[in-house]
Amino acid sequence: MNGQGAHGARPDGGAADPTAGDRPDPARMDRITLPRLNPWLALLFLVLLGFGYIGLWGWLLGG
Amino acid sequence: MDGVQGAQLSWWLIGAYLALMLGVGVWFRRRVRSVEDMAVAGRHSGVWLIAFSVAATWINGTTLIGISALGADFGLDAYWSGGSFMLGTIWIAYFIIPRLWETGVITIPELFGRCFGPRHRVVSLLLVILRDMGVTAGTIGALTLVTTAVLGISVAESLLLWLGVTSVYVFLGGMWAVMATDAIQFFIILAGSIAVLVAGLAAAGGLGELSATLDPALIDIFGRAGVTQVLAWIVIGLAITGAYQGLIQRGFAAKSADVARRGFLYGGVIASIWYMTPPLIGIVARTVYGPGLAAEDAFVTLAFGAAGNELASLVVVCVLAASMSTLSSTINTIASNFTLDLYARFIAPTASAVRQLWVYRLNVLLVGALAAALYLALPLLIELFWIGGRIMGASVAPALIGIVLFPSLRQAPRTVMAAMLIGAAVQAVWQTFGAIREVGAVVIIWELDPILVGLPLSILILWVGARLETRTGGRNAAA
Repeated sequence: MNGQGAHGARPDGGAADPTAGDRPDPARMDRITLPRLNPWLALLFLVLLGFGYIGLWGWLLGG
Repeated sequence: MDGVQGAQLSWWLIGAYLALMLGVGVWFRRRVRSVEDMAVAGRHSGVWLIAFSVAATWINGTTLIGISALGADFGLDAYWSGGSFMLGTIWIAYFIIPRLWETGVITIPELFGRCFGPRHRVVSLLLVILRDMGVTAGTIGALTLVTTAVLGISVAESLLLWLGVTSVYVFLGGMWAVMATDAIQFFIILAGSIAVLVAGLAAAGGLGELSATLDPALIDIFGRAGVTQVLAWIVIGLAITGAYQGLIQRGFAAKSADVARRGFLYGGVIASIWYMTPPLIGIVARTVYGPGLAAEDAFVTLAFGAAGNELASLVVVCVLAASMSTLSSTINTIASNFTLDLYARFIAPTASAVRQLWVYRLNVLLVGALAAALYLALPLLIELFWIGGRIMGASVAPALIGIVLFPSLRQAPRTVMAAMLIGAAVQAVWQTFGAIREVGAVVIIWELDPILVGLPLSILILWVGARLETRTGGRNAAA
């Protein structure tokens, strides 16, 4: 992830003016490289982490 | 709401809190010179402001009352009804937010418009607003329910006070005020909720006594809720988070894509840890007050019964802070939709920046009034959240995540439109006619949760449709 944007504040102040110079562009999102970890595996990992957190509290409350 | 009537509440503390929120709005008024300043703080926000703002936005009055109620009924499983949203926040921090920031858009419908054209912009706008307006009305409802009971004020006074103050500080300071008040409100929520939990544990005789007397089903991972419902809560949280515009706009407010990522990551982690607090409050309340306690009264009964007068005012301010942080966020985000996706795009494309700013500010007041009217017309409280949320989670959310992760989907406008419309329709039909297992005061549980029908269908349409459409040649039109 490069972390640095190619644009600053929009010069049109947010207006949907198609002639504005620094126009929002969906294609720019591909400049940001995704983490190497597969997104769906990451999701699964987070869910397992959640179960672990619940399990920890279950263990604490279970005495 | 037993135990509330005898509490001696300090209006001074409540008044000081409201004055502080208004003061923040006045302070940040000078930073707002454009619509972009109002909607996304001019894209100048730092990491921690975003992090605390993200955490506070995910916590509202319904969280405290509703998830405590679920905790009293379903035990630790109730964590998933809110915690899944936090895990979703961590996930989008890495995979969605930096990419969305890089596009330079301000609203989610704007992205759909830039990718596919005005029809997609309008459809996604309706679906996003359906959810956010439901959250706004539901939050007002929960806040009104508590404050009319605790403070003895009328519904009209409640709406005027809490909604009025929130609307005024958003009107003045826009996203700057929203995020700054969020950060303050987060610490108030933290103090109030932990105080209730500690007082509850004391009333239960300490952790050891609580462990010895609580119902073991409450700490079983799939105890009362069951596997299917736990799965549904996980899916709902992950899906809705993927397109929660009020949240995502905090990412747009960041100085850079990396700041946005770190802000969401830290906020998501903080909120993930905190989100066990309401289920624990519910479990403690159930153990202290027994099976006769109505689940929806768990938070308030424990807060005012166990915490006592010393903490009563702090608890009230905590509920106000939790609700107003969410209200300010949804009011601001809907106002940005009204201004950018309707007014500036379709009604007055040549309007000056000054005029757009004033239209935005008037929309802030309009959204507050609309949400109050919606609450008065449909006082179903929490269901207002879930109805719009589930529909958005089964339509816009998979489409948005698909657009961000799979470039080929940006060349498939008909597929995206079909997934949004069919996903939303199937979701709405299942919510209306699906077999219901249990109707509680704060939540409906279906035999098969509608999200487990609507979302897989949308994903299937996106997957198959993108392959077919890109093979036959897609179309890409700018809004």
